[in-house]
Amino acid sequence: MLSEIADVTPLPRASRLDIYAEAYFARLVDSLAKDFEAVHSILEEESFRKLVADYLEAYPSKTPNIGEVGRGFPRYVRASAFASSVPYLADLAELEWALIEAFYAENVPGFDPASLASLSPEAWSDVRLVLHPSVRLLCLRWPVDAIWKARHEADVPTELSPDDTKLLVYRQGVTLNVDRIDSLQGKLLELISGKLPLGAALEQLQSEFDMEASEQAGTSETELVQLFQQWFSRWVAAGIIQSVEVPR
Amino acid sequence: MATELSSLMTQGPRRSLGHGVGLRPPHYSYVLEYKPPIAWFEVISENFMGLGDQSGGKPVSVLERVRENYPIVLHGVSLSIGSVDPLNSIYLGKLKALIQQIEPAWVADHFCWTGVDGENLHDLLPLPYNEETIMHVSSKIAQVQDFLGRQMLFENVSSYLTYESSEMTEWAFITEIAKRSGCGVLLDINNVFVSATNHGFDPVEFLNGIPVEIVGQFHLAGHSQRVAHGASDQDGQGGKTTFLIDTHDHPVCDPVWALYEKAVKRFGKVPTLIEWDDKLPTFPELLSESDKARAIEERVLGQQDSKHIEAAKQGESRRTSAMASMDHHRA
Repeated sequence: MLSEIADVTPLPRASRLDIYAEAYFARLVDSLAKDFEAVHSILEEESFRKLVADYLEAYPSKTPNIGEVGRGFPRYVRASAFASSVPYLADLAELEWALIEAFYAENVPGFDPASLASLSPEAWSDVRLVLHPSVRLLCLRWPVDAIWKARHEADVPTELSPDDTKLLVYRQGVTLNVDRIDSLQGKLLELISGKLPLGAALEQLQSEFDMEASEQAGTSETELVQLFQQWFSRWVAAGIIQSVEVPR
Repeated sequence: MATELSSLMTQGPRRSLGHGVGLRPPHYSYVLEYKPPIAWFEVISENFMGLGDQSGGKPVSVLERVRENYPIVLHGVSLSIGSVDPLNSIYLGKLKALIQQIEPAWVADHFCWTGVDGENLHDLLPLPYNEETIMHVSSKIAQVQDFLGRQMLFENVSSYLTYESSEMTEWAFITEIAKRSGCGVLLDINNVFVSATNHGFDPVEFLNGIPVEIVGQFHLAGHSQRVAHGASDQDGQGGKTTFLIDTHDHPVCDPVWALYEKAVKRFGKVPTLIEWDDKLPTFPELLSESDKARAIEERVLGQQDSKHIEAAKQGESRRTSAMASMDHHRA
């Protein structure tokens, strides 16, 4: 390799090649520090650089878009030594990658709830709700949204207690949002994005919670439908619903 | 076909697009809100091409809004035209879709390679300047231009090394590829200066080696000085030597302005863009950097205009400079 490079003054070829080697790491560390700014804010600069260097060694970039280099980063962090020293770090990385995906997700025309006006109450049970392409549902062990929301503040909280957390990440217009949602709503969104018709999704939701004897156990069918109505109007307002497919 | 394309790009009305700046995310909201007086914007194509095989999301909706008020030029960094890897068809398909959506004034990339074996180093790596590379790059450019159905511009990069297998100057290499493929040249004046310093050639010789009619755009940018260690100590500098790195994080320096002036004298009116990527100034500061370029161009071409009137009287007006003069009046 080195012998291919012309050895001309004023700088020997090894030093010339070094300029590229240094620039490569500087550029990618800089790019990932922006993409994962909360992870970056939690770690010492040297630890972050080392983590990125190890990650790139294991998973060199194969994408034309430098913004996509971090795709495998959350998984890499989860398998790294940080899993024990900073146990919430992988969850935080997962949240930041979900935000990047939401940022780049396809643009689709907004959903018009007026299109549902002619739908009879019975027909609702067969509809399928299609979520906006930017929607990401995260089931995390740690409430890392607290760190993400404080990432630009002087004192970023670095101590967290484990607490099962469901986060809804989505883009509304050009704004990225991270909402904490309760497990019942999270479960329903999961079932919906699995393409279940609404009626079946609500039924499954009720039976699962009854079986788990969770705090939501005993929620009656009527209560569940009322809850759904509240969530649905909130989802429509937030642009989370892309379309409602009505079978013919 | 190549000649036809070439005249479309570098001699048509687009030659008079005027002075633009690179549009970067921290300036989006300013540009949308204040609609500042700038003739056009250049953006990095890949930032609007989305992830995987998807399209561009939020960045594209911002770009569409900017496009309502300004011409846009797409500037790519990942085509990797010099690599021995085959062209990336997913990438090209997404670029074509973006072109259809944004309708850019033109599309550019670099005379470089960015990786091999499917890996991307996200850098603009220099090519060996020889016949084998000319053939390889020319044929790949022709493929891309056929696929996109349009001529592209390719930019000379800043480089820090050259190869044992190079057989000619960089400007001879670029000129030959443009001739064979029908592509135009985006002449980056700062890159000429940086490479000239790093490799010890005369930057004016570079400018004089590029035919006037193949240049469709200029770039201007700031660079950084770096003291590189490990240099030979023949010059008594203690093994240290100053190297220039193309960082796009400074104002344009005086020697690069002086070289731009020479370029305007040689090439006439060419759309000129200020590139600034790191340590971004405020948008008005960026605009004032572009105004400096405009002032230099007006001064140089104003002088040439009066010379033209003289020359026209004597019936010996040259085609290219006359065109520069016409464009100047239109602008």
